[in-house]
Amino acid sequence: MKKFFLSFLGTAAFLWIAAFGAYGAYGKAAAAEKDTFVYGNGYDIRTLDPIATSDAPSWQACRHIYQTLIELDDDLNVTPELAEKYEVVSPTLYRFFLKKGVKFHNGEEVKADDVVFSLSRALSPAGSAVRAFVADIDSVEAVDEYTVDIKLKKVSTPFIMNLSVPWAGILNRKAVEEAGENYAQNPVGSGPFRFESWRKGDRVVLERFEDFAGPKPKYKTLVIRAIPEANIRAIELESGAVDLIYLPSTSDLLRLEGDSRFVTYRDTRPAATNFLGFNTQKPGLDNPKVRQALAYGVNVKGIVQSVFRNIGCSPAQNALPPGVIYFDAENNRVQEYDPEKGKALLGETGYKPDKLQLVTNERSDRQAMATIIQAGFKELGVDVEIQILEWAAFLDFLKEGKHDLCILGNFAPIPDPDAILQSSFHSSMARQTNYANFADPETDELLEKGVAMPAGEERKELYFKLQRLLDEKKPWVPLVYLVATQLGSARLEGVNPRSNGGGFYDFRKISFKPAD
Amino acid sequence: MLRYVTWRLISLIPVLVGVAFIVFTLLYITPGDPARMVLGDLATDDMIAEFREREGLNDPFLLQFGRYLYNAAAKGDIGKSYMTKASVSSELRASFPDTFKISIFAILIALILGVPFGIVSAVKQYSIFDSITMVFAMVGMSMPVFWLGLLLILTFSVHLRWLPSSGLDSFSAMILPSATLATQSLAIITRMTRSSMLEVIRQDYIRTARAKGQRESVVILRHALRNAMIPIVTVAGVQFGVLLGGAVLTESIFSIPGVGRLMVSSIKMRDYPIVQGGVLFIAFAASFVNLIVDILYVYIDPRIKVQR
Repeated sequence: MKKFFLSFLGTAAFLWIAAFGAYGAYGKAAAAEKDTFVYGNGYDIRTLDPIATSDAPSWQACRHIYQTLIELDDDLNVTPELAEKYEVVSPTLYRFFLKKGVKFHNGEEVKADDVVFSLSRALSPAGSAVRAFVADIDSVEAVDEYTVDIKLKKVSTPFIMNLSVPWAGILNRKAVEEAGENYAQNPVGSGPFRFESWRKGDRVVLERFEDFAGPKPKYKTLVIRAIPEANIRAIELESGAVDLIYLPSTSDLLRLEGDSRFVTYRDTRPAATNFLGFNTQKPGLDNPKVRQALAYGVNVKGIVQSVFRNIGCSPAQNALPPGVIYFDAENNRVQEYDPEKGKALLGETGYKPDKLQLVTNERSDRQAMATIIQAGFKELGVDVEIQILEWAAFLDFLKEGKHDLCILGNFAPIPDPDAILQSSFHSSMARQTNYANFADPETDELLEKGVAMPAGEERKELYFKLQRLLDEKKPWVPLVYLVATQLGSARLEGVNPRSNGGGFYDFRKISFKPAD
Repeated sequence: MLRYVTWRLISLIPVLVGVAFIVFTLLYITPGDPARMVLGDLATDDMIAEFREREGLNDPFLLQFGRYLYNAAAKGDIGKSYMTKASVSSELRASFPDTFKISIFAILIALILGVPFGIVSAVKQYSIFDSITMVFAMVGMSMPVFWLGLLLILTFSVHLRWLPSSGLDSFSAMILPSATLATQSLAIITRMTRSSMLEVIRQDYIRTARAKGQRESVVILRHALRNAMIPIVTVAGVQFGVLLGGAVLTESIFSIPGVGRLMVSSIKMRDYPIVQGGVLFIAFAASFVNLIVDILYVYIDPRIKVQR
């Protein structure tokens, strides 16, 4: 018996020493050199083919692998990237002049043929996930080796901004054709980082591209990790394994915000909105007066306080978020909570539903919002049944138009109002991304005018009018603007808090302050 | 023995076909269209129809199932991920090693600690040691994994800074996830060892061994433990089989890209080929562990003979 326990203790001691010996070496290596920037994201990437998805984590990686023809600077101006300049030949024809000598990661030069190939690929069925971005493009043609024409089906003011989104990343034709179906796992672009490895569910590792045409990043390796648990992301940041994390939990923010080792970065231009949508095709709910009355039962301020504890969000004023141009900041339209007024209005309409079905997905914040709305509607004398569905089933349910009410979110991938309003409110998008199934000729007309109108005061007035109109007709009650938040090590410099709405950031300018 | 193993492997075939049928049926009736998940919100009806046609999702249920079985049996092809286009086998090959590493380490921890604790508890029944061990075993069985995992991370990674909190980059990184994963198995094996030993040490042959003047350690380890091993090995085998199926919560807490997380993300994305292949693989792994356990019986107890 003694022998047995001695050997057991010996084994345990060996395992212990081996473990801490290894961890000690790991800790020292991590402290010695800092040419690796590690980002802790909440979700895993799905693909590295930029047109095969529109999810933010995938585009986060794509943004560093590929370059687009143009990009937006911090003031939302269009600036050159792969194209040194562009000309508007006619309202529906844009001509892009490529920079010469820009190299792909496989050594090939970026030429017009690659641009035509990449953008045409997005127009094909393979690009269904990015259809919203390419809907206005008619054709893409090479004029010569370094000049490309993009012809539009109709005049589209936001078109040029759309080209800054990662779907429009330029791929190397040869690499795509050689890799075939495996391309998503062997991406080749001309961006500041070249692809090194992707461990699904864990991390993407990118290495600095030494022949990059623009200013090179100051660190060598970019690691984007998928850490699904918010608490663990914060713990990894505290332990130094990660340098910057996306969406820390409210409790971690409260705990770490005052700590001098960390800095919080909040997106200065929130572009994501959560809303309560009415299914405007349902009898009763097709009456704007009924929707206005029911809206008085939505306690937006209560939601911000009790669901979000006033952190990481603000009450939504509008169908447009503040991160979008022509956001009407002057007119505060945060929904007023006044059940008495709502009840009286509802009485005037004679609307008496047995029960309304409010459907949302399994996100805990949305479930909590649903409960508060349910309580508010009860004050109006309207019973609400909450149904929580898993994401894929939820989308199916919405597409079939079975819901009365839904809670959902959206974001503006480019800071143009059309990017959010067209897909959310145009009648042609009903049963697609117009989850309110809203069909209003006046709204349609304004949306169609707005997309084609050149930037300027007149366009601004039109979108201000549209925001007023949507507030009156109430296909939605905007609930909260979500402020994308990051928490990072105080050693970091050059962190850009702008998330482009969906949470894909630019890490090119990040550097490390020397250790104390 | 070889004949027995071959026969057992052959008898796995109907089990796997049955599992495949159940998974197929469940996915078939689950709401949520894979075409919409893969192609995105804005895919047109034409695009969705084209995807469904290409992937054979419009075919009758039995035809889809038959084609799947034929491809798996005749070509060894269990499909490609809708999302990444990578083969299901390569996706499983990439995620299984991590699950295997923490599972094997967890079952080792459970056995190395659970068997001695169980033996001592049985030998010193109703002692303080026995009571404490049984209380811990009860706590271990009832403690939620996500809570224990976070507690271990807070203690060993954040406060003491002894161990990494995520990944499996080093041996030290395996300790916390394996310990978290081992807790329940450890509690079960401890209790099983104790009850099995208690039954055995009351037998006449143990009294005889003691009467012959044999040392207590020989009586317990050679005579009693060997006879008590069958239920312990059975339970350990079942536990190991469960662990190989992927521990979703443990893998999520420690950010380990194992089979559990692969399955959950594939279910969310309605990536049917991965879900089908994954479940088949888990069923195969569990059956294989069972087979090993059955073979071990023969070595533990020579009275057991293999037969068809």
